[in-house]
Amino acid sequence: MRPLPSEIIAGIRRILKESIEPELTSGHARSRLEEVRAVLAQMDWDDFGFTLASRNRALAGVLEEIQAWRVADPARSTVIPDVAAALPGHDRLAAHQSCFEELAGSVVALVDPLGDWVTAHPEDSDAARLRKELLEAL
Amino acid sequence: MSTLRATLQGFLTERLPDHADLEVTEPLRLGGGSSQENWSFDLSWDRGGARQVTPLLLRREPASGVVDTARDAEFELLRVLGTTDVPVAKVHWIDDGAVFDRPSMIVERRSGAAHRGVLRDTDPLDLGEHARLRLAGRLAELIAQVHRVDVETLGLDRILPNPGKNPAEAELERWETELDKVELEPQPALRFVARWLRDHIPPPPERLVLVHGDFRPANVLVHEGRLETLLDWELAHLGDPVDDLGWYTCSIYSREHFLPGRWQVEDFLSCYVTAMGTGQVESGRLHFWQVMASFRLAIIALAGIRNFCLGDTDRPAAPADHVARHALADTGQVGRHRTGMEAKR
Repeated sequence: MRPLPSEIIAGIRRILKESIEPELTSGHARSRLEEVRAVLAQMDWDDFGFTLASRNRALAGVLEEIQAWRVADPARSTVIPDVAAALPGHDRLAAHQSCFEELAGSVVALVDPLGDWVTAHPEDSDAARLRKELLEAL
Repeated sequence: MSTLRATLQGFLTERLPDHADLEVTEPLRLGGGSSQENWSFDLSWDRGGARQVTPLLLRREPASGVVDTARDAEFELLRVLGTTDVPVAKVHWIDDGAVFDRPSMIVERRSGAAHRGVLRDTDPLDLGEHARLRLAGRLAELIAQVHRVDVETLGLDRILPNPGKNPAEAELERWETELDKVELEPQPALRFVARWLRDHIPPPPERLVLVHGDFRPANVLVHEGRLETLLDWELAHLGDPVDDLGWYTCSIYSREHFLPGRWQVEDFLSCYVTAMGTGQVESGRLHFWQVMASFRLAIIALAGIRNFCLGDTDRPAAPADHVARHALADTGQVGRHRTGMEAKR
């Protein structure tokens, strides 16, 4: 599979630097080109999809734990929202992106209820642990 | 002649009827300016047979900016600051967009260069170690100079909005609203940061000051080793002086603003309190504003991403997850972990 995505991008960055940049006379165009090169360098072109999938698995795992903790107590069930944690059935970037948006939305819905619960129930060590795990999965 | 040059020439001819043979040079778009288009040009006219030349700058709002700004308030603020010892460019004319398509102002073009890495050992402006350390100290004195401006006497409270009973609450509300507007997908890390900020709102400051809002080396013109002009007042507001200190000392900027072992956060704060003649900066208050700074920077990055994805800008943007995670780590609730590209760098 050569060139790898990262090799293509590295080559394009080199061409932009060595062949295109010297031809530019406008300060504005040079600044934009510099930004384009910087952005190309920032992306993990080879592993982007794998990283997203791994992040989804981590988030879904914590959300499943939170769901189990939530339903184990009627008081928690009333104040902590039901959270979705389904992973995609196949490894396509679009499916994982859509999944991430759903998982991220579930996490956002938990921010205040979980924060309030942890503050109101300092004795609930599981709540504090799950909240910490959730933060670390982000 | 380009359309912009012809428009400038017409605009200035109308406003300077006594300037004989008025001409403007072809405006050149400058590279810098994250929230404004900056066009450099010279105005020349005939006086007593000799050509007079004034270097000017047209600052125009881009089609899609990364922050919302009120151009008339910024113009009025700069006009008033021009009467103080704060080094700002003189403002000449403002247009609400009727002439230049988008809100614009024409200001004096001053000498010097701005570079975000000016203090770093790479020394992009070739100042030398001694001059860079002197500049670092001068920056702390400069922001104290801004904070010493008398808000009431100058009427700044009639130009800039009143932040209400607590500027920290007002800023958090403002930036959460901005987050609602710009996010293309849910931002759980930033929502946790917002929650932390709500839980750690400091008490109101003893007095409201003029906050620059984007105070950093990138926004000062340096000329012959000296600070010449403080630029980019788009985010200026009335608020807590520690707001600017948190922005300057936030972790995201640490490599640009400080020199390990030679110029550190403590040195900056010490220089600042000496210049202000006040007591030490409260650590809890500083921490709040440092986290607020990371929070804002992440939201500004998201605004850039939104504009890029919608095709509304020529500025490219990459995912900003690492900035959001940085902000979350700044709260102290999680450690700083490096993932993907961060680990490879």
